[in-house]
Amino acid sequence: MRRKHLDGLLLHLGNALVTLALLFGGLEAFLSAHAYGYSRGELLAVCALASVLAVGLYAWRHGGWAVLGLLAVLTLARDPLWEKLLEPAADMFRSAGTRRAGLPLLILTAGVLALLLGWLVVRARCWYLCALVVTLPVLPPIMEGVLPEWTALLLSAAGWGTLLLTALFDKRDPAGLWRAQLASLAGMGVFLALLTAALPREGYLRPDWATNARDKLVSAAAGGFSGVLDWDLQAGDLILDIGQTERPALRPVVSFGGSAGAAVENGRVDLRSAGPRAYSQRQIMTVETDQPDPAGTAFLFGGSAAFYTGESWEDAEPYTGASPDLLPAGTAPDVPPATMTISLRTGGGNLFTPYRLDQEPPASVGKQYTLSYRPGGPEDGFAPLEGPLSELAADYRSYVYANYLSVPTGIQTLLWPMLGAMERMPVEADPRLPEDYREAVAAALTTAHYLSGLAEYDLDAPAMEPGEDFVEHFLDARRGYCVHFATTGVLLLRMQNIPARYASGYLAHLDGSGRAAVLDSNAHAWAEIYLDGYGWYPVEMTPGGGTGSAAGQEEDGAGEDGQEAARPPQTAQSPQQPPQQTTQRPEAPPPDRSPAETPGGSGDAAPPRGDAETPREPLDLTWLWRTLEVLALPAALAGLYGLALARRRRSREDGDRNRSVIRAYGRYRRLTAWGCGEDELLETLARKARFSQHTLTEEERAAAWERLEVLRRETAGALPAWKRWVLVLLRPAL
Amino acid sequence: MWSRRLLYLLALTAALMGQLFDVGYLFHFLFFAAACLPLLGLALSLPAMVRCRVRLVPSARQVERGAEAGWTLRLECRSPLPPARIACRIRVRDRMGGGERVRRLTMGRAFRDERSWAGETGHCALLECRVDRLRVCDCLGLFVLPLKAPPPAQVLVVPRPESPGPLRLPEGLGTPRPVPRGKSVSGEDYELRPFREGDSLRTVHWKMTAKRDELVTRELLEDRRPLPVLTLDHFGPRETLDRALDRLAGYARALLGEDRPFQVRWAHPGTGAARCCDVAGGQDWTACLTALLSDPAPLQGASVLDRPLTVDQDQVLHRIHITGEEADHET
Repeated sequence: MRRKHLDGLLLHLGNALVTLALLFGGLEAFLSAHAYGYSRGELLAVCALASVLAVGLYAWRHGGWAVLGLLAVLTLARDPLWEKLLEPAADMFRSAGTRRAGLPLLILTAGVLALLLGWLVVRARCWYLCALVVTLPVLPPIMEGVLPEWTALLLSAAGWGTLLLTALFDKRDPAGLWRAQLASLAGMGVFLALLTAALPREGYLRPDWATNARDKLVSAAAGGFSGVLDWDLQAGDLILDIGQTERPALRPVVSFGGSAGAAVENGRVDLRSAGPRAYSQRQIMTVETDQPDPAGTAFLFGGSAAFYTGESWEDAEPYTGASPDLLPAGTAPDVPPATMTISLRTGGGNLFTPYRLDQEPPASVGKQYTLSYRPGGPEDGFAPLEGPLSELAADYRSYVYANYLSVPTGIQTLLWPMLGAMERMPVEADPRLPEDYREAVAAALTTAHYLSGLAEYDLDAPAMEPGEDFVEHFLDARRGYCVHFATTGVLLLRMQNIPARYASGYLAHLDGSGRAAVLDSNAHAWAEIYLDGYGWYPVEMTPGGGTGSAAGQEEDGAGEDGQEAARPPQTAQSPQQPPQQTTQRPEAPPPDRSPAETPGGSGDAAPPRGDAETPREPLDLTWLWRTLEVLALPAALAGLYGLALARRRRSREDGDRNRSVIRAYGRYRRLTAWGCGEDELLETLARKARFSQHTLTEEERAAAWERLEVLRRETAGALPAWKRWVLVLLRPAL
Repeated sequence: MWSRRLLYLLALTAALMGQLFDVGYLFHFLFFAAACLPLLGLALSLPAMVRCRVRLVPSARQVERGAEAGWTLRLECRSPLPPARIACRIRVRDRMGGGERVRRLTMGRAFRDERSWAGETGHCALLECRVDRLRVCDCLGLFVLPLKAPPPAQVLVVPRPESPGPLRLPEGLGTPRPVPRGKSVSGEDYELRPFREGDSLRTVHWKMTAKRDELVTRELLEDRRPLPVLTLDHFGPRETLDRALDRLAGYARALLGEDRPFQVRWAHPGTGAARCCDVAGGQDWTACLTALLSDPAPLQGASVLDRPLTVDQDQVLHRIHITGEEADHET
C-alpha cells in the first residue's frame, strides 16, 4: 500500500512538472511574442503555484466536477468579476499604452490556463491539444516574423513532447507511468538542449541544400505547367518563370525577396508592404565583365519611379524620344567600352543594366544577355554632349523637370526643417567632378550623410500602418532600410530643386576577375539625380550601402558615414534655362528663416534617437477575443459531453467486471424510462453480478454492454425524430 | 501503429516543406527536431523492448465439455521503464473440428500485464492456442521489435461421462474364457490338437498319438477375461460425436474403476488407417483422449467397422462399437 501511495505521489509530481513546463513556457512565449513586459520571477512563481493546485485538484477523484463547479460560480459571478478584474485587464490588452502584465493579470491568466492544461495532462493526457493550447496564441506573431523567447518555446515543447512520448503508456499503472514521464521529461530536456547547441541561431542562413532542393521542386512544378501558363510569379522566396524563355525586356521594380516582400506591379512600388525583411541568400544572377580593374560594387539598374503618393511610388508617362540611357556614355567617348554578361538564374525577361550604357537597351532578353557600357563616371573624364545626343539631352531635360521635382504638399512641411539642418553639415563632392555638377552631387551626399545620422539601418523595420505616410512613418520610427532611405532622400533632393528619382535594382560585388554572384539580399534601392548635360547619376542614400547584410560592408568607396563614392559630375546650370517649377515643388525657404516660423516644423531636425528603443505596435488581438467568446459555450458543452463519454468508457472498462455490469444495468434502467422493454439477459447478468459469489467473465461483461447498446438503438428507433435527437445528446448518460 | 507512422510522415513532410520554403531558424529547428525525435523515443524504449518476456498459460490442461476454459498471456518486463505496447495475434485451433479463431491482442504499457480469453468448450476437442506476430513497439509507435513467441498451449476438452455412475458393462465382458496359455508344458486344462512344428516333444500326448497314428499335442488352456475393445467412428456431426465420446468416457470410467485395461480403436477418417490406444490407467486414458481428439472429425469418413479387428493369437477381445445412438453394438 505504501508503495502504491509513493507511485501515486511521484506520478502527481511528474504531472505537475509537465504542467509547469507547458504553462510557464506557453505564457512566457505569449508575453514575449506580443512584447508585453513581465517579471520572470513572478511568472515562474505564479505558474508553479497554479500548476500544483491544478494537478492537485484533478488528482482528486471528483476534481473534474469541482472545476466545473468553479467555472459555474465564475460564470454566475461574471459581472462583479468583470468590473473589478477583467475589464482593467482587457483594457490593458487592447490599449497601446501600458504593456506590462501585472501580477493580478498573471494570476488570473495562469489560473485559467492551469485548469485547462491540468485537465489535459492529468485526465486526458492529450499531447496534441496541449500543443495547440500553448502554440496557437503565439502563431500570429510568428507568422509576422517575430520569434518568441526561445527558452520559453523549448520549455513548452518539452512539456507536450513528454506527453507525446508517454501517450502509449497505461495511465492506470502509476508505477510505470511516473517513471516513463520523468524519463521522457528529462530526455526531452537533454534532446532540445543538444539540438539547440548543435544548431546555433546566431548567423543562421538557410543551408544550400535546402535552397537547391526548393529550386528543383519549384522548377519541377513549373515544368509541369509550362506552355499552359504565361505567368511570372514573384512571391517571397518563390520565383517561378512559367512560359516563354525570351520576352520583351521589362524594367521591373524589383520585389525584394524574403518572407515579406513588397508587392510588384508594373512600374509601381507598393510601400505599404515594406516591412521586416528576410533573405534566403538565393542567387538571382551571375554577372561577368571585362572592364579593367573591375573589383568593386556596380549598380545594376532595374527600374525607377517618379511620383510619390505617400504609400507608393508611381511611374511617369513614358518618354517618347530616344533612350536617355545613352546620355552618360556620350560624355565619355575616350573611355574604352566594356561588356557585361548577365545570366539570370530564374526569370528570363527582366532587364538589369549597368550605368553608362553604350547601346540601346535590348528590346527582348532571355536568361542571358550581354551589354556594352563605359565604365566609371563623369569624374573619370567628361566631354560635353554633341550632335543628336545634345539635342536629346535638351529635349529630355524638359521631361525631367516636369516629372521629377514633385513633392506632396503634406510631406513638405515635415521635410522643411531638415533642409536647415543639412545646410550645417555640408559634404564636399569629388573635386574631379566637372564644376557644374559638384554642387548637386555635394547636396546629394549631404542628404545621404544627414539621413545616416537621422535613422539607423534595420531590416526588421515594421511596415507602415494603413493610411499613414511612408516617410512620416520612417521618420517616426527612425529606422528602415534602403527603400526608406532612398524614398526620403529623393524627396529631400527634390525639396532642394534637384531633379531626383527612386531607382531600384541590384548591387553586384565584382571580384578581381570581374565576376559576381548576385543574391537576393543584394536587392537595393537608391536615388538618382539628374545632371544637365550628363543624365541620371546614382547616389547611395542608405548608410553603408546596406543591402540585407550588415551595413557598412561595401567594398569600395563607402565612407564611414555611408557616403557612396558616387563620382559626382559637374552640371551646367544654364541661366537661360531655369528649371521648370511645378505647383508641387517646394519653395526654398529664406536662409534666415527661424526654425520657430517653419509651419509644422520642429526647427532643427530632431537628433536621432539612437538609444531609445522604439516599441513595437501592439498587435490587434480583438479577433482572438471574439473568437474565444464565440467558441466558449460550444467548447463548454463539448467538454461536458466529453467528460460524460469518458465516464461511460471508464464504467465499461472498469477492472471490477461485476461493478461494470451493474453500471450497465443502471443505464439500462434509465433507458426503460424512454420506452425500452424488459431484457432478460441484462437482468440475469445484473443479478449474477450483484448477488452471486462469482466474478463475471469478460465475455459476460462485453455481452452486457453490447446488449445495452442494442437496446439503446432499438429504443431510439421507436421514438419520434425530435426525441431521437435528445436521446443522442443524452447518450453518455445512457 | 500504421496510423502513427502516417501521422509522423505527414509531420516530417510539413517540417521539411517549412525548412525548404521558409528562411527562418524556427522551421530549421523544427525539421531537425522532427527528424531526430524518433531516436529519442527509441532510446527511451529500447531497454524495455529487449527485456520483455511473454508466457502463454492455459487455465487448465483439461476441462470437461461445457466448462470454462481459456488461456492467459502474461507479460513480464524487468527494466526501469515499462514497454509501450505489445501486439500479437492469437490463433485458437480446434484440432478435431478443424476451425480456427484468430484475434488480435494488444497489451503492455505496464511492467506486468495479462490478458485472458476463453475457448469454445461446447464440443469435445483439443484446443491449441498459438501466439504469433508478437511484437513490441517503442513509445512513439514507430519502431517495432519482434519478440520470441511462447510455445503453444493446449486445452483438452474431455467428454462428460454419460451417467453419474459407471456404465453397466455387458454381461459377456466379465466371463473368463479359456485361451491357449502359450508354450507352457504343465497344467490341468488342455485341449488336443495336431502337432505343429516348433511344439515341444514334452507336450505330445502319446496315448492319442498312438490311437490316431499322428502326433497329437496337448495345448494347455487358461481362463482369461476378454479384452474390451471400444471402437467408434471418428466422423459425423459434432453432437453425435460428443454423445459417442460421452458414452466412451462412461465405459472408460467403468472399466478403469474395475482396473480392467481396455483398448480404444478408431480409423483415421481420411486415410482409414487403424488407430489404437491401450488404456491401463488414468494417464493412458488422457493420452488416448489426446490422440483421439487430435484427429480431424469430418462429417463423412472411413468407419472402423470396415476393417477387421486384428487380434493376437492368444487374445480374446470383446468389441463394443460405440455410436451416438441409443444402442451400442457388441461382438
